[in-house]
Amino acid sequence: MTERSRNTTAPDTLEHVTVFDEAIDLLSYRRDCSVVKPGTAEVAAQPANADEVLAVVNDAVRAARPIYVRGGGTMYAGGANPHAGGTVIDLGRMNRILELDLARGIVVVEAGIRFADLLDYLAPYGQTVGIVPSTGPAATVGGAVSSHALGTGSPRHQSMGDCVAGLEVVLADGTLLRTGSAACRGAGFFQRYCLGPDLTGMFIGGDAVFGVVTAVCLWLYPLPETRKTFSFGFPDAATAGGFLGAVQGQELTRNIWYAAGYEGATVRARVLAAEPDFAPAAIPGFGLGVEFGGTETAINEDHARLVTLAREHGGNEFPEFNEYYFHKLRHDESYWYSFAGYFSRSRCAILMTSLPCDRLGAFVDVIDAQRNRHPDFLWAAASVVCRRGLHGGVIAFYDEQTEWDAMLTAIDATATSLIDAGCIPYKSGKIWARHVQACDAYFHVLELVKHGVDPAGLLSPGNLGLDQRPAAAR
Amino acid sequence: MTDKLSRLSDGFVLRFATDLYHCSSCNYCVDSIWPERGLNDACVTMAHHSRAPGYSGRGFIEAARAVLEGMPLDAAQLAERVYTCTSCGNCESACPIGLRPATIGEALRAELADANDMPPPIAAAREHVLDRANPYGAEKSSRATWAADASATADPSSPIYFVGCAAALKLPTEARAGYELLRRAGLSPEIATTECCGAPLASYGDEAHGEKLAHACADSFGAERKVIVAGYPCQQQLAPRRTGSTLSVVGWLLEALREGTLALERNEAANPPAAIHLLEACALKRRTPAAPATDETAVRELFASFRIDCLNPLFPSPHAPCCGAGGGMPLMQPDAARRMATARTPDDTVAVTLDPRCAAHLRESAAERPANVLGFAEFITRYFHLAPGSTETRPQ
Repeated sequence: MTERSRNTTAPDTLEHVTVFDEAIDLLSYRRDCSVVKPGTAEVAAQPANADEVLAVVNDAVRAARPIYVRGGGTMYAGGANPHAGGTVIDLGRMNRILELDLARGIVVVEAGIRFADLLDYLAPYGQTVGIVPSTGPAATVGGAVSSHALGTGSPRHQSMGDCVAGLEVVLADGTLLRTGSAACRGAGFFQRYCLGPDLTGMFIGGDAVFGVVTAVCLWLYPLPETRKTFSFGFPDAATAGGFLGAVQGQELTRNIWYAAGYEGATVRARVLAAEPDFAPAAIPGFGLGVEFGGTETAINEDHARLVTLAREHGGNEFPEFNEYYFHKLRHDESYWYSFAGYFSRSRCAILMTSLPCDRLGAFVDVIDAQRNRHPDFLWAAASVVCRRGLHGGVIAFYDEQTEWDAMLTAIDATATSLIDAGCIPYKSGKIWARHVQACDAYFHVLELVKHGVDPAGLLSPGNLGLDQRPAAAR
Repeated sequence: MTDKLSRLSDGFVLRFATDLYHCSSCNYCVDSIWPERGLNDACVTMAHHSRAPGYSGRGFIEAARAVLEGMPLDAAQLAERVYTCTSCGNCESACPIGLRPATIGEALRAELADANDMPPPIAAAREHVLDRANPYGAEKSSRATWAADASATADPSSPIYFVGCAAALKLPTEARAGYELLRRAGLSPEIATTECCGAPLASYGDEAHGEKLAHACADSFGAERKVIVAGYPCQQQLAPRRTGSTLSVVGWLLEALREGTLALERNEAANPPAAIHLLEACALKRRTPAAPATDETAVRELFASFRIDCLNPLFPSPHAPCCGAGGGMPLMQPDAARRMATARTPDDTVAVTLDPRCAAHLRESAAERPANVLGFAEFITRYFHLAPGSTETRPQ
């Protein structure tokens, strides 16, 4: 094993950067949690700070070697899979809190800090951050920002990007960029939208195709006084979608810290697993779990309004789902509902999409169609509520030893069906690459930007479909 | 010795194929941080030796799967990684879906052992066990040195007292204290000077010889006689191979207190400290049929009844970091093992370990500063008396 010491000097050599180049260590960098096939890097680097990231990037650019960036590796879009080989930059050692400014309401962290670590640090100050992915013990802030993370806090925002006040990014040409107000020397992070166009947004959800995020400034939010879960049932997804649209329209998401919807098969499976004698006819066609956070009074008021709204839209409270699944999931088993719990059944493919509330029925129809088309796989769907609209997750269980290729085909077909149903790619990475390429004008601009900031195409080739488009189509 | 490990045995595949193809790559077993559960760096090897992921539980899973899928791995590199593991089991207790990365790592050791690919320090320790009944290379006869002045005549109705290698050779004061406890309880135990129980060989992956020694050791006691063992790995090795009761020293005392046959009273001449570090035993963390699952909780409750605070508030934590004594770590990476010991004893507060192996290692590692580390039996004999049992077994 080639492992060198940690201290860094000039950003032009890897002499003092920890690197691993033995095959046995590179195995763990081949893939993330996705169904996307793995790749193999030539070397993995674990920089300890932004200077070392600069050194790694400079070294890779000199050698014309592709660069992939990895946080906790918990994403499911294949963004960290090194399909073009090269260098994997593992940011896990960059886990420091750089600045906490309660007056400005910000915390600045190195990109590799785990959410659980960050929350533990902030808790004594009565603070938290806006969105926390469900894999908090392993997921990194940088990875979450780079991949449009969702999780606790989603209903109060559109996505992880809403929680970001600024970034520090290493570019392919060796520039160390700070965005937002921090672009002005000495000003620091306190304002995202200033100076001009929002460069912060260019790197959010970018899966490291434009630069390597080395530090993130997040807005702070006060910890809620109390938290409670409630569940609702609706006859079908379309009805639930109407309800959710109304909830969002009335800004009732302000005290909702997590809300997730589950289609009929999932609801049935969970309820009947907990209580086999439960009357199937009493199980609704769509279940929604809501976790409130706030004062007791505000929660009770909002809860009452949601109950009224649910009844107006053909639904009602479904306390059994709360008891058997949602409450247990959110509080009894683990505050960190790990999506890895899905994997307790088998390896699963996860495909995330975005959709307006009025397409929830169509989204579930796609899942039902896949059940008929590919009955060998077990299909499920969940939807995460955000401030407006939804993010839907298609989950398909498969035996990776024997069914991986077939699952890839099925997931690709599902992606196409979702687009046809009015849903769009979310968390692109590699899993949606072909469909991002099909967004002509958008993709054209992505290519223009890519050519400007990474003319050699070394940063995360293949992510977002960049640098894999046939030459004739360019 | 082979250059590459290019296949896995049918038995390995049968046992672990589901785990290998179930792993979601969530990295909880690599470097997750979960403060509510006391998990701060899941893998102590990665925290103190190397952050190369090949050393982690996930690394073991990826390695096994690579070999299974036709990618031979350098045997020496694989061996270096799977033997540089404390076998603490944190990767298994951290796994959200119940996979067995630590067990897979141990099974890979067996595959390597079968191929004669043990790393030299492990191979040497194995030879010591086979030749001298201990992994340290000490003379076989020195196992009984701690008992040289044990003059009491053994009573055949008393239990057998078996002292594992670590207590016998590395922490004789603990071995002696365990014997003293039995004597104070009115027993005249027979001191077993038999061969090693084979637990080290099992951890090295030499399952066949480990099994052979275990049975020989167990048979030497007779099937029914009660055996009290100083050392949890030894107790866990022997218990499934006997029908008679096989308890650790800790387990024996807790049982006697619970049944009311013994009572514990303070030694008025030596007040126990008001607060201690109570160190979990890795051997107890991963439940086996022979592991007394409640010993750690019961010890904490016992000390609390005497108003001795346990400073680690989550004790017993299923995720507590290993002190460095476990698995192949002391042999493979002695410097890292010392760093782990230092991390587990951060100050001069008295640290009490339930497994003599831990206390021995912590004391050996405290080169520059005094280590106030005691084995459980040492702590009890220093600060308490044993009295005949009564209805009030725990004084207020």
